[in-house]
Amino acid sequence: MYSSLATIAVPLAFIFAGSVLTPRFRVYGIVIRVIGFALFSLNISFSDLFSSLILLTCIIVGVVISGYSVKYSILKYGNTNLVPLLDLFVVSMILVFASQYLIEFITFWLLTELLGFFLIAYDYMARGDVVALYAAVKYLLFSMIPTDIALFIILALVGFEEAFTVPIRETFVNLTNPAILIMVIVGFFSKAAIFPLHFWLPDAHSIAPAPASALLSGLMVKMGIYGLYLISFYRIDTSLAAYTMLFSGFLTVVYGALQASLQRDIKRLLAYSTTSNTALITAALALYFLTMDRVFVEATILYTVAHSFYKVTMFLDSGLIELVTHERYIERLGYMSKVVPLESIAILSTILAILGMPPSTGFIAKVFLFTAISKYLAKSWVYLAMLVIASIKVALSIIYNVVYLKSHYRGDAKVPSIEDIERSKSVLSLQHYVLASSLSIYLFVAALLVIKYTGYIELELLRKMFTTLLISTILFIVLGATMYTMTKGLSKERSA
Amino acid sequence: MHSPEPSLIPFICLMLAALVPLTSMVANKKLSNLIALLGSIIIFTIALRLFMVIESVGVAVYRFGGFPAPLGVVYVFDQFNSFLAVSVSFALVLTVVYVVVFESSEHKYLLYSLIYLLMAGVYGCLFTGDVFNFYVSIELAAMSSYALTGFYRGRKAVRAAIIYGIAGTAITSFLLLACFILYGSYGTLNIADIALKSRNVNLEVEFSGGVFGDILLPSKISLALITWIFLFKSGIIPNHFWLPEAYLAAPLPAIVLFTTSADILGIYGIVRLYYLVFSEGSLISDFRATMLGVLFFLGTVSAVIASMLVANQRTIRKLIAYSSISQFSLSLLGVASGTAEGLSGSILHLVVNGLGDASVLYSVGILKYYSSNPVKGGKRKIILSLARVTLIVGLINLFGVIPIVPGFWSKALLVLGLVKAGMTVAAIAVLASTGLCAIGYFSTLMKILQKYRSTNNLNDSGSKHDIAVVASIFILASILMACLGLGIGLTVYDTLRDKVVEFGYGVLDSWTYIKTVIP
Repeated sequence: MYSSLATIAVPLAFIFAGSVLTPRFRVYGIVIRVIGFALFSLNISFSDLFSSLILLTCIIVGVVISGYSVKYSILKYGNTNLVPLLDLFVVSMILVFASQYLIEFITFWLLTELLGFFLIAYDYMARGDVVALYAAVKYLLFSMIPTDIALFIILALVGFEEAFTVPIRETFVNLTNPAILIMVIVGFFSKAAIFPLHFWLPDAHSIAPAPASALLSGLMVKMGIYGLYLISFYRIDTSLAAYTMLFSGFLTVVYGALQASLQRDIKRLLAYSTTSNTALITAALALYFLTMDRVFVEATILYTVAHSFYKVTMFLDSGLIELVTHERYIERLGYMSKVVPLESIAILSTILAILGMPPSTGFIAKVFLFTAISKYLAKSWVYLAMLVIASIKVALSIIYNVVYLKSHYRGDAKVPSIEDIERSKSVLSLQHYVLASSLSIYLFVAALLVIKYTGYIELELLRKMFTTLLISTILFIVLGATMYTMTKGLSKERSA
Repeated sequence: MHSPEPSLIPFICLMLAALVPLTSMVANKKLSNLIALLGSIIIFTIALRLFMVIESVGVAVYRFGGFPAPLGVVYVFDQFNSFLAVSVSFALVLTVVYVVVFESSEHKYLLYSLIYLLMAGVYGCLFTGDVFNFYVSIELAAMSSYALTGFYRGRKAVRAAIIYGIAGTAITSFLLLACFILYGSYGTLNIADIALKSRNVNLEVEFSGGVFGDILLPSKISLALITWIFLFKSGIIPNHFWLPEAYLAAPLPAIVLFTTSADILGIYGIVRLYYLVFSEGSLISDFRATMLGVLFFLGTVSAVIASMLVANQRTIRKLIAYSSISQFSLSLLGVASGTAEGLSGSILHLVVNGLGDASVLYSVGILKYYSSNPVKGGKRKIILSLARVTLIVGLINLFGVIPIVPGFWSKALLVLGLVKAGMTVAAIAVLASTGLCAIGYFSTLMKILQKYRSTNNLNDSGSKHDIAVVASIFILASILMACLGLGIGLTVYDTLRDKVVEFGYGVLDSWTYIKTVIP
């Protein structure tokens, strides 16, 4: 008990010290906070695949955002008040995923939701923008409350003694009553923004400051998925749960992807894409409920990780666009690749990663998912439906990602004059963080392979893909080098 | 009873109510302030000691004049009312400090007088074991609250006081009628005696004999009447019409006293009525079950409607008013559940609501004070940030979703008790009303933080207000420590949680009470 307290207290102390230092000594503050986040990895025990991988994701995202948020906060608001709030948000999510007992799970979950509220309403606190307050209240009503109801129901069914003493995956929770099961599932749906409680997300995530949106879309909605994963350990009517999740999931996948393709505001586009992706993840988890085959859990977690990195990178990019151009509409953008070429390459490679280019996590996730589906394809119409929906989703995601890319690459776009956009060094240096975030989606695979060969986790299919991954990594590096020299050549031509 | 001090509390209050105005007119004002302050601290100490003694003893009885019950009036102390007494006296200390330092009315001595009369009534209600004494105390508390509502604050206050006063007097006179009915049928005014006879009609108790004739109909009538009166006193919809007006009009310290002491008397009375006087084994148990069903229905409806009204309130007073209505309805649901967890959750919830309202109201009051009165720079920063933290903790306490505040534990116990009793609809209503209230809390929190943000630029000059600094730090720090201490204590120590649940069991166990009073 005390060792786990130490593994939480020491990183927290680092992060706190870093936040105190950040207003005066930026670099030292950032470095100390990065060390603090890295120290949280002491909490990773590979007993459960889902929580350990998502914890790793949180830590990496925390490291990337710790640098980005300082610069963003100073450039947009003139002070670093956003930074401790963001740090605390990431820390509480890390603690949610690392919690052993139901009571600490609930505590940190509720703390995260509360901090999410303050982050969404941050523009109201900092600048008096009332729209932010309304979006935050909508979030409170339609996302926080249903999840609280779900958590309290679970707490009431578990009782206080077990909530303190029994580990979270071993508690005996009797969710056989269908009404209660539906309430708990809808509660977690509201967190993951799935029909019928999905409509709070576009407003909330497009209003929040960019690093906050990145964390909200990238990590907080995954808490809903984690909740749904947890109820698979309890006594439930699996087919009812699975069909509910499939029904809502399918609806939301198509709806979210369609809406995303029609948006012209980059942040709303990303928000709708989040709902679509989490719905796909939920549908994959539902198939796990039906078959109890580990492969579906592995597909779920890998897709979750891939989507987290993707969303974080994209929202960080939207923040950079907002700071450089003060503009959010795609019609008025299109020249980003000429202003920040490194950034555009990062975004391009992230989009390719989520669409499934090897050797990224998105590729592995799609391989796992489609292999698992095809294994059961002949058994029931459900898997065929899943395959159809997944294919539709892939097609639509290509569409909306290309729409997003139009803000970076559009042939006829002219770069506006120097008064309209900012080209200061500090803004352009944000590119490095976005690049780091985008690369992490690829490096994660390497990390996975390393962990696999130390024997802690069991992703079976990964063994068979080793040669593919090796070859594709080499090709990827070659591709990256080619693109880099090409853009360097182009910019040299332009300046010459 | 080992020593008579706890029974003296109402009499100390009465004495102070007379002494303070006297000294302020005869001697100087500072002396009257001092006497008021010392009096409140003495009362708090006695209440705290009472609570610790009752922990070891269980139930204690004090006989006035040595006359045994049911011949004379008795005061009965058990865990339930001693816990509430501690909470009430804590609020009293904070309120007196606030009035001493921050209230600047020329009729301050009358304010003290009314506060102490209110307290005399409240403590009398909490401790008494006699029905007519209960009526007298509740009338005393009610009269003082009518006067406090309209206390020198203009026409609107007088209007609110008239609404509250006329409705209140009319309704509490039905309590008098119920007392007459009970006396006429049972032949006794002692609560424990009535409780004994309602279980066993043919019993003959020393000094009061047996019952007169058929007591079935009179019991039913008095149960219904007294329930209605207590629902009015706690402001449960549809008997809530006086509460928002009164809260809008009364002075700030008076509102804090209302939420922490006067309005909890309704829920206290209902608990005593349904679990002591007419409990499950009594002769009207099926009628009682029907009435509990009515309470369950009213509580659910009231909680949901009041929490919907919380969301669009503009002023903090109306917010606190509707929030209190909602929280009292939740306590009512806990009472209607019939389980020990539900009852203990309901008791804890009364205290939690008091703490939460006190923190919100006092922090807003102090923020308002410092936005118009200058004080030295460094101290101002400390006080303003302390006030903001107290405000946030108070609202989170009322919202009640994080285990470090006691509000979480009271809601958790309520939900647990309701689920145990099979009333899942009520459990959902508890959570839904919490959520709906939260909208109002957080919107108001944002607006207040915005409003008082720009006061940082006020010219820092003048240091004559040192006493104000000390007082504000004392008030805010003690509320904060009480909230967080209770919350963290409940989270970390399961003995504390078990002790709270024990309150519920103590209430359910009415025989101990009865046997201690009438051996």
